[in-house]
Amino acid sequence: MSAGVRRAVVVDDEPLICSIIAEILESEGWEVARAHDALTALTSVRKSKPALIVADIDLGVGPTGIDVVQRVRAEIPDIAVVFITNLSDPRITGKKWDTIPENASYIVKTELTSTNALREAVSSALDSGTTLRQMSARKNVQALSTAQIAVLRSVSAGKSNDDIAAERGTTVRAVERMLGRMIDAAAIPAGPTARVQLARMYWGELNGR
Amino acid sequence: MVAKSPQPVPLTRWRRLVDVLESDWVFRWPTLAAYALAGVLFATVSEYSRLTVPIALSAVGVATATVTTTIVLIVLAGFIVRPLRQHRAAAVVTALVSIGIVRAVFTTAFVDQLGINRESFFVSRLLLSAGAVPVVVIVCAVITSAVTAGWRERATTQRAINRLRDERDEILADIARTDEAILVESESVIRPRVDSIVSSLGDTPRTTVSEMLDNLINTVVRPLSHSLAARASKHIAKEAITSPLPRPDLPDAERFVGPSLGAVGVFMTTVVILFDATTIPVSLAAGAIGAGVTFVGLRAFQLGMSGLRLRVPLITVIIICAHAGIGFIVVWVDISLFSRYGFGPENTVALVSATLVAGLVYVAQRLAIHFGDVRLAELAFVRREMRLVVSEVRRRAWLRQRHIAHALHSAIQSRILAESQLVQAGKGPLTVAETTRIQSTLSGVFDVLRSTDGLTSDPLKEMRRAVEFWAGMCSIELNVEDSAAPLLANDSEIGESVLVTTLEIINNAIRHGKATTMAVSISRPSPDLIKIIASNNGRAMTDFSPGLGMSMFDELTVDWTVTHDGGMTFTGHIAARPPTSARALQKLDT
Repeated sequence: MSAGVRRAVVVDDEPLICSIIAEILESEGWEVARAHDALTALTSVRKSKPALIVADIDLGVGPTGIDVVQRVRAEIPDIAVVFITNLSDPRITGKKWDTIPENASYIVKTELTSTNALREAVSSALDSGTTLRQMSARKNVQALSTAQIAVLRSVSAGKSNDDIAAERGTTVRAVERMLGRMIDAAAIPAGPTARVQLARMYWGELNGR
Repeated sequence: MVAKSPQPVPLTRWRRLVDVLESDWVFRWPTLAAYALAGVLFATVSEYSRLTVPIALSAVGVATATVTTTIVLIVLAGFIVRPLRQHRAAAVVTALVSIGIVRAVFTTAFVDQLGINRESFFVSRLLLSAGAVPVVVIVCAVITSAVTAGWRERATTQRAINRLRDERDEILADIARTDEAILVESESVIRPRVDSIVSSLGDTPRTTVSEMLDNLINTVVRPLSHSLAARASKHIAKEAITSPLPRPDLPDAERFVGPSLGAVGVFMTTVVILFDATTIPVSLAAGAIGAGVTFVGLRAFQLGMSGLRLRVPLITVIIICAHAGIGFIVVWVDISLFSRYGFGPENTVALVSATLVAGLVYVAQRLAIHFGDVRLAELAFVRREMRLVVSEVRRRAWLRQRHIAHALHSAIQSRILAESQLVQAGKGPLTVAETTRIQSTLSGVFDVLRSTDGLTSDPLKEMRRAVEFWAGMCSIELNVEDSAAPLLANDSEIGESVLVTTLEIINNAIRHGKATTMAVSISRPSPDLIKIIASNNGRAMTDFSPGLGMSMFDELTVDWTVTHDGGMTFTGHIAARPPTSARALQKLDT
């Protein structure tokens, strides 16, 4: 194997997506190992010592792409990481993603129709001197804290401020203040429909609209 | 540590007797009917033994008149006692004693009037009536209240079972509706857009087709997959099925109070009957022996019967034999002791009858409680069955929903994505072959949605792979017992449920609990349950947010608990009434 070969591992439980990404990378000169589950990905990484891993966050039942990257990072700390995701911000799903690795680039699956998006994400992940490519620029959600997103999710689920306060073990006033800050941050005009618009914004983010 | 509930002391059981007196049971017609039955027998035997010319018909006549009068007096006393709010028990006892005294006066006068007994035995009859009336009436009140409570409990249980069945049917119908709606909704949302794309393929430029495919993903497939994934199951009201089973509210006076009352009845009968013919010490000693035998016999019988799960006919036979045995003992005492003082067999008859009166009413009470237990067991069985059925249907719907959501954001999305890229990569107008391929890809979307082949083929292998994946970070000891393994392998639905639950526990413990060692045990404690126990040394997770799979556990398991004891232990049960899938049936058949 020549010294100049750049190796990558692509892990996605959907073979077609995996192939699409692998082919794009191969066209860029990468030598790509494909994996459809966490254990195969880990084995491939140990075998080929790649410079890049492109991992789908959701790998179906069992360990996630995040778990894979956590394990890989423990063995190859400087490996470049690109996550593939369906979401503009995983926090809005309500899942507990407190282990999302730092210094990783992201690409939303729908962006895969453009090879440039993947190139940009890979390049960003490889070059530590540049700003990492974050999840698609949905400023409204990214500006919010995890607690605010949790409240937003409750609002969109139709819960009253009293319910949310009881659920979070806080006061109604605190919930109202938090909602007020979110409404301001989202530049939603104050008024009786502000809460509805906030919930709509959440669903828009969740559903990629 | 589970705290033991304090053992009830006998005093609280005596309290139940007072409760009966505080209630209306003394004055209700079932009590009076029971009193009439027991009283006529009781008084007949007593009068038979004391009449100068013992004639059964005369004794029955005296007894019937006596009891009828007593009942009338009790009813009249009821109007007086009922309004009393305080010290009602004392008022009831006083009233009954007074009624007994009145009864003695009446009976003596009645007997004198008929001239069948010139001596009339007023004093002994006075003692007998004053003591016996309260005892017999109270015993009858206790027994009838127990029997009625048993019947009431039976009716309540039956209503509860019917309510549970209705609720189960409602839940199942709701799940089925939701399940079908998800599929129909998914198809109905996607189909118009797919039809629109397919119908426009002939003369639409390549770039437009590609954009339409991208739009299909962005505006239909992805939103749909997310809304399905976020959809909470709000249609389940499990409380009626999962709430703790209520114990029947049956009086427990039978434990000490019943034998005690029986013993008192026998003591008084014996003493009063012997009072006319022997010395007081002898009559007291004989009464004490009869009372002791009655109490010990009934109590031993209760202890022997408690905890037994026998069929009702067998219990009835045992009860009759046990009381016949008590009667024989009394007969033996009479033969060896009483006959020494020259008393005739009529005394024996009185003692045996008195014993059997207490015993027979106890039989009724014991059977009532047994029926209560049977109904309770039936209710528990029905509830358990319903929990399993509902759990199976819930998890089937959840797995199906997950399959559709996963298909949308994975297989379907990637196929359309690939199709879009292929269209983009081509040049010029779409060819016939490309048009056919696009049509095939889009129609395949519905095949994927309808597909039922979304379950893991080898759950055990997947579990072992997960264990291997985490090796080095967390040492996981996976133990799948032989009793459970074949079911997991052959029933894909059960296997998938166990797999998803187990992997979620493992992942949570490592990701969030930072566990480094873990033991997972999967067993089959009963033919219809798979039990998962997962212990780890991770930190306790007190924040059970939805993201930690809690709602998933609700959907997949019959029940689950998490305990903290220097680590964390998950215990969950998965319904496993084999087989639940057609594939499993097929495998088992072959």
